[in-house]
Amino acid sequence: MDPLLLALWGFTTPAVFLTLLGSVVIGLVIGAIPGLSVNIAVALAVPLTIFMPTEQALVMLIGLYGSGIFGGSISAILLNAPGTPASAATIFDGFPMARAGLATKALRISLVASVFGSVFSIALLVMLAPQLAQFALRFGPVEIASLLFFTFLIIGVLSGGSLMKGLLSASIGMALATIGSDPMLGIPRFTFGSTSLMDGLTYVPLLVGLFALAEIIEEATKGFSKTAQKVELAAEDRAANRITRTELKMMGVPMLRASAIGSAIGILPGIGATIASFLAYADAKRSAKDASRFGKGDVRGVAVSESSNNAVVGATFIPTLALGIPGDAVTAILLGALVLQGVTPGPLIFMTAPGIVYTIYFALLLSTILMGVIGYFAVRPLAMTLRIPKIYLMPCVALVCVAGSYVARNNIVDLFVMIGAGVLGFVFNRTGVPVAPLLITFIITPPFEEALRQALTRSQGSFAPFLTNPVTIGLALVAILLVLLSARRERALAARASAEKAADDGDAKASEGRA
Amino acid sequence: MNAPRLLGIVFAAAALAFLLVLVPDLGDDPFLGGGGFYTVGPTALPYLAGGLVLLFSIAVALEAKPAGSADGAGGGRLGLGLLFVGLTLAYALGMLVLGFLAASILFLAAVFALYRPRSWIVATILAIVVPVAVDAILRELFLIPLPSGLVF
Repeated sequence: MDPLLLALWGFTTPAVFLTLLGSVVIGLVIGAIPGLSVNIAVALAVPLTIFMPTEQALVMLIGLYGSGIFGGSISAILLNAPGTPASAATIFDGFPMARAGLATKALRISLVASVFGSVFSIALLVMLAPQLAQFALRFGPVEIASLLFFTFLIIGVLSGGSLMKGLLSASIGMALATIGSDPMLGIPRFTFGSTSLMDGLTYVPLLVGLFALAEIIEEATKGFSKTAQKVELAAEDRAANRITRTELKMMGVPMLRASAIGSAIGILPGIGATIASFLAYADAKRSAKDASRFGKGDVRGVAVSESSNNAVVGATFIPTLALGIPGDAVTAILLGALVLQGVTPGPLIFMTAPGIVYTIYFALLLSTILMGVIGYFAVRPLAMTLRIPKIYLMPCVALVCVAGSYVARNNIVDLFVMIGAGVLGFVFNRTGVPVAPLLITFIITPPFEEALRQALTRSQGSFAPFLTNPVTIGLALVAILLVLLSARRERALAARASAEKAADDGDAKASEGRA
Repeated sequence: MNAPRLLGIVFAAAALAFLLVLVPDLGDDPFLGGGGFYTVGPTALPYLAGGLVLLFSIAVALEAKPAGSADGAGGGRLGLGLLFVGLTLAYALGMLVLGFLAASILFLAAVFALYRPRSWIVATILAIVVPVAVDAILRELFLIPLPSGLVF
């Protein structure tokens, strides 16, 4: 049977369909709860997928990813606290709408925009990924090593507020990836005689620690919140909460622009949905004829934020599938899960495992449809999940973290790796160092080392092929340009901050003088 | 000294130890060899990674804003976070002795006892139901062996 039909047929089996349905529901719930992000949901699901067939595993992770981002908008709108960082920009207009008794309308707009953004990026994925993979098939070790090193630089540069912190995080990921057997000769490195470390640091406990445990430790420092949030949607005026045609018309073009921005951001590795939503929001505000309503409950504000963050979902799969380079932290987790299943993403996947590619396409599309249907009818029950106090939730999630990290290899060493990664993730969060570059670099370092050493073996140790290769030169120029632009932006921000501080100090002194 | 600067200094020190002690030790291994045809041996990437960590950690330490400025998330009591890390460590070690189920129940009970829930009834139910459910799902549904412990 044709791989396309075979992949589609796979979704008719009860196990696969129910897994998709369940993961969409769980993704919506986890996304809605502030403090439990999509990353945590996907990270906690990976240990379970090890024991599933590849199709079912993919469907589970993709279902959680797509719906989790929309779920984040629920608490952003109702509580002024985003369930996931990607929904932070939704607060600007979503929460004022909720305070004006239009929470249901804001949630519905968020749902429409999320579905729009997702479908837009899935279409882009289907069109672009095979073309990019076709181009990448011409790559040899020199080009692959250059591309992966370029990825290292670009995720460091673009992933966070500080250029140096992003690059530090990426470097630590590279250093951690050197633990275990050397990929060319199998020589143990930094294993300290432990056979458990011969395969390197295990991926599952590392990501569970970095994302889930780090967040739980953060909540622990606040003593785990004991209060239940009060959310009441039943009293709202139903007629006022219907989306009108005029509103749909008003949102159309901004949503299209936001989806394009989200997709473009998604293709670049390491940036993620949070930055996409802020950029799209700023773009919508700048390009609007009347921007006076933005920040006070404008439907366009909610629409652009949500369509852009969901447009990242499909687009992140373009570099993941075509080049084997994860687009963000979640696709890094997915890429690792695929490797655990014996599937290696990269340009060859379109030839060696087209069924997997089609399964990913269908899983993305079907999870979007299910998200739309479930999200529409279950807005009110989903809002109820916000009432769960953290004191009950977080310790139970910690238990799942421990169980999930242990079951990956049945090895107690993995639990210590998970706890160590949790502490590292917590320290990173506290010091403003982004975690995603560490995970992405950890994943791309082994193929980078392999390609680099293959290239140098072929050239008998000469770096000349790197200096004369057009792909390498092109990527180096882009990297230099990005580093310079990023450094310039940071200097400008620092100058503006010090000017504002000086002005504030001046004002304070003046008022003291008057007093 | 603010947290990012301290982080930069700690990672710079760790990178120096990595580059000056751990990586050369790897090169001294008599079994390493690597073959004369390999111009880049197994120590090349660790040197590169360690060098990059050193470089960027120094940069982070130098660029860190003065103490008291908002840099990264904050708030809360660090002691409570450390307490939770300690409990999780004890839980991981306790699993080997007591087994998954008993260690999990004790872990949740300890967390609830120390962090004070709103309702003791809900906490008690959760401390029993969640471990039993996770244990049943993993053992029965996914057929994953969990530690049975030395005691039971």
